[in-house]
Amino acid sequence: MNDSSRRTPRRQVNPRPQATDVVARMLAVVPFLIDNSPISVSEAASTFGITENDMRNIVRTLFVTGIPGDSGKGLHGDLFDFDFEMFESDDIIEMTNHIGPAETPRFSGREAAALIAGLQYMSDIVRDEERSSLDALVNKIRRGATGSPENISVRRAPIPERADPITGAITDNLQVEFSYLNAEGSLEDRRVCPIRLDVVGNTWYLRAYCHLRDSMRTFRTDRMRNVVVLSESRDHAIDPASLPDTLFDSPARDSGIVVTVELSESAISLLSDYDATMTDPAAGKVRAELTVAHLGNLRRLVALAPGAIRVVSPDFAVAEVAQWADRGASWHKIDPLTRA
Amino acid sequence: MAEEPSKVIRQFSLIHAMLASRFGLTIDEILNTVDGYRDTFDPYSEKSLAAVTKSFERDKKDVRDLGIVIQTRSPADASNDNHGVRYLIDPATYVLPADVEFSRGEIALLHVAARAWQHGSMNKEALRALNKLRSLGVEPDSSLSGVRPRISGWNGAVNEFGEILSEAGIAEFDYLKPGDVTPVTRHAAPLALIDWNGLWYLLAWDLDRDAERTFLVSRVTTVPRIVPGQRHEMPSDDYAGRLTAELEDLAAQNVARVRVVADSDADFRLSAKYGLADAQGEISIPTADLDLLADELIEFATDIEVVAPDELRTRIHKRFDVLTLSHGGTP
Repeated sequence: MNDSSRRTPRRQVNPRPQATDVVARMLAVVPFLIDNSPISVSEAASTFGITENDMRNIVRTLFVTGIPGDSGKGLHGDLFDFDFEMFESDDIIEMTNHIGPAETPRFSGREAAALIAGLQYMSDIVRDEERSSLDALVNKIRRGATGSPENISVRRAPIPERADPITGAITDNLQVEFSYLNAEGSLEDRRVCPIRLDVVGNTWYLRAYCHLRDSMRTFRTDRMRNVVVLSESRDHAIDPASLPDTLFDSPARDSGIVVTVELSESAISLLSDYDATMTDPAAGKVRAELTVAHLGNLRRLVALAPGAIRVVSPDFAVAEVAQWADRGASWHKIDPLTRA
Repeated sequence: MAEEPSKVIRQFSLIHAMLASRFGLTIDEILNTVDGYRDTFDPYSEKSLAAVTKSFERDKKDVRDLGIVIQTRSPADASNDNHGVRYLIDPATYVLPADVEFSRGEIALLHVAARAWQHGSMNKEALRALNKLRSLGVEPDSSLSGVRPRISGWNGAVNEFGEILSEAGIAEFDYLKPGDVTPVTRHAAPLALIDWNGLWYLLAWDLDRDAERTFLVSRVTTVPRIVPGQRHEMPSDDYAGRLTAELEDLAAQNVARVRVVADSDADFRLSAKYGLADAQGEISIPTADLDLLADELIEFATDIEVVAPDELRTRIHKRFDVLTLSHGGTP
């Protein structure tokens, strides 16, 4: 196999920012600097989640930017100006003159659509009594946009009723207890410190410190029953922001089953939850190698898109899927009313 | 930082020049005075004029794509060329209205909402919106640090349809209707994109059929492309809201009945989503599309039985036949 053909579908190359993206960022940064000057480069950079160097570059670009004044030569009043000394020696941004509005720009129609659809999607975490304030917030975004928000929407992801108490437990720093149906199909009692609820598509996952396993675990909330919020406080302080977005650790190659699947190009995104390695593409099909903890997970994978994903090796895994599918086919050929 | 620092300075200066000008700037004034234009523009060369005028047209489009409203004023003695047209940005339409203010709790909600977009063009739009929120200098409170929603699927065909939607363009793509063997090329003007129950739907005006049609994006088999040079008038209507309501109605009218094995994975997950099983162990599942429901149910295999409709059972066993066949078995 040619090593250069290996790629993982999860990784996306971040394109370098286009000039217009940088302009958009500068338009947002300027009013903040006007309002908060003097401010250290590091604080301003962390507010916008960019590197200190990016922030310094913004300031340097502003230094050389002006508007055509009456003379057309850019006199003092027509320029951005900073305390050069403080900037160069102390890394502090002190704006001494600015042009243009000091207030934040409006949202574009698409930006407003992104915010509103995001709010819709997560609306189930907002308590009922706060629902009206959510509507008010959507209205503010609409009024703050230059165009009507585009027709893009995301339906609310409903949180399973049984898992609802967890949102409160996280806010109140309390432990929870529940019965959990594990991947092998057996019920276990778990007592955990809930850290974060991740909503992906329509599924709510709880990231929690599990006392039974003594480590961080991810639970599907729709596999929980009898969720009880305990009076004990969380005994593991973990910063929710420190958790990676990957929900499950892929099993190590030597502890799971390494399988090869063949799939059409259009089905690649279905592998995003797996740490898959793409191999030898051929005629519109791709092959991927991945490790599953047990064969049950493999059934779930092929069931995502029957016909579009096929297990090709090892032989025992192929046979297992074939037998499982055959049982499923015979089972569903029979009308339950006629089943003895 | 940027690929093209000169373009950054040019566009940034252009925006500020148009903001500062009370009566607007003519194209001559822009080319002769605004940084990034005046330093490259040679008024004695036709070629230079053409090149700079072209980059002004492109910048204007980029600036408008940022959501900035550029007004144009034509001179009273309206001659046919663009020469007398004045361009300006009204600061009042540029900045957020003074009464739009956000509390720390609202900022926290908006931060989480913006970060939900993971991929493609909507991720980019959301990050731009996020920067504007940061610009307000209001720190989010910590109330929502324990929640991390992620909107999936804004990539591939969905992303392309999104681009065509915002351009008010016409999309060309191949679409495989369920039950058909070969896809058919379709031409349609996108009106709305919605994620409903984890799947993306496109509402569009189908030009070949001269009627509105709903497409399930996962059934699109080619990368949608924009038909060059064609635009349509985008009527302002809440298409997304209407499509959502239609799908909800459809689902409410078509309810499947599925019996689950008690305490199985199917029992846990289907009852969490659709409500608890009744005394017979049956769960009612509203569905807008039997094929999609069959896709959702097959992983439960022999832990479920379809009570109604018969058509759902047929679709499920057909899927298992495909799976058996593709794994070397004989259905």
